[in-house]
Amino acid sequence: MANKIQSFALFGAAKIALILLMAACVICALVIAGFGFIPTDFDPTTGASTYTVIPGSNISSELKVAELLAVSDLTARFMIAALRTALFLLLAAFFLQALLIVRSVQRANPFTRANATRLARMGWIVLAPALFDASNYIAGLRSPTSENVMMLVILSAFGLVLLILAGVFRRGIAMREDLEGTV
Amino acid sequence: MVMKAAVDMVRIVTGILTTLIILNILFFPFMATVFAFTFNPLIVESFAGEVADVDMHARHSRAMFGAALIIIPLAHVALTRLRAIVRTVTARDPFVKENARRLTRIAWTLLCIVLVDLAVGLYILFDNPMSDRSSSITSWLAVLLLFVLARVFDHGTRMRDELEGTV
Repeated sequence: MANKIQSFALFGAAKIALILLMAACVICALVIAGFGFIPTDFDPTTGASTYTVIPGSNISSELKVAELLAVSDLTARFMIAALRTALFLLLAAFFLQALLIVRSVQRANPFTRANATRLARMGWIVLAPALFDASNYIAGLRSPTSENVMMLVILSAFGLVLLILAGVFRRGIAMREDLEGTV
Repeated sequence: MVMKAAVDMVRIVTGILTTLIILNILFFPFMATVFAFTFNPLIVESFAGEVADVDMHARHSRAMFGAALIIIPLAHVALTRLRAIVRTVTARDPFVKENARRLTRIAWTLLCIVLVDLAVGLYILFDNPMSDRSSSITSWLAVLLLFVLARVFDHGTRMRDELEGTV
């Protein structure tokens, strides 16, 4: 019984945290899109832009990518803004899936096909940026630091766990349905 | 037919995990060797390149490779638990309490890995305030979410057990 109450407290707290995180991600995406796509700091005579999404953030590696692709500063800036906006929207989607899973537990049995799909979606959302980063490193567009690599390993492991869990859910549900069908 | 495809999938995933486990084990002596190398000033100097402070470079490499020596066994625990979860799928119903416990253990090991990473980052930052190491909150969120998922699993199995008990 105590465990049950504890679980419900945890799920309640997780729900609030996930809603806050989701809101933060959407706000970040909006701010980044706003600063990125409305070129307030763009100098049309020189074509130079002093674009920094978040003060102090380092976008030099992304600018190098733009340089290699031989696009103008403004195009590069739009590309970076689009990438970052997409990343935060993906994160918001990730937290939304997690929120729906937690909500489903509070209502009924969490072992459903819908939750399996949500887990798989979460796994791919985590893996997609990690794969994107890894492909950049392999192509030599950016050089990874030790902390980048560490981050990549942790995120890939997390994505792998989520995808495997999704598979376990699917199999378990299929097994159960088979069993119920034969009874 | 569907059953057979699923069993093949399980076999493939188990195979991938086993490969990762073996690679991880093989990685340990390699890392241990590199770690030992950081104590040899001659080797450090040849690897440091144009780094101004060779001594500091050695200290930082020592911290990073030392951390790897802690992280590899932790990764081994996480990977073997993950494989155990996948294996329950072939045997029987995967929605059992042991899997919830395994998932919690994976979450704990990931937490330890993140903590080790943070410790190394802080050490390097205190040693050289000019270094641009930053800790990301993404991995912390991943760990927290894994704990929540483990709880979801645990709650689900308990709920089902109760339901079956009443029938």
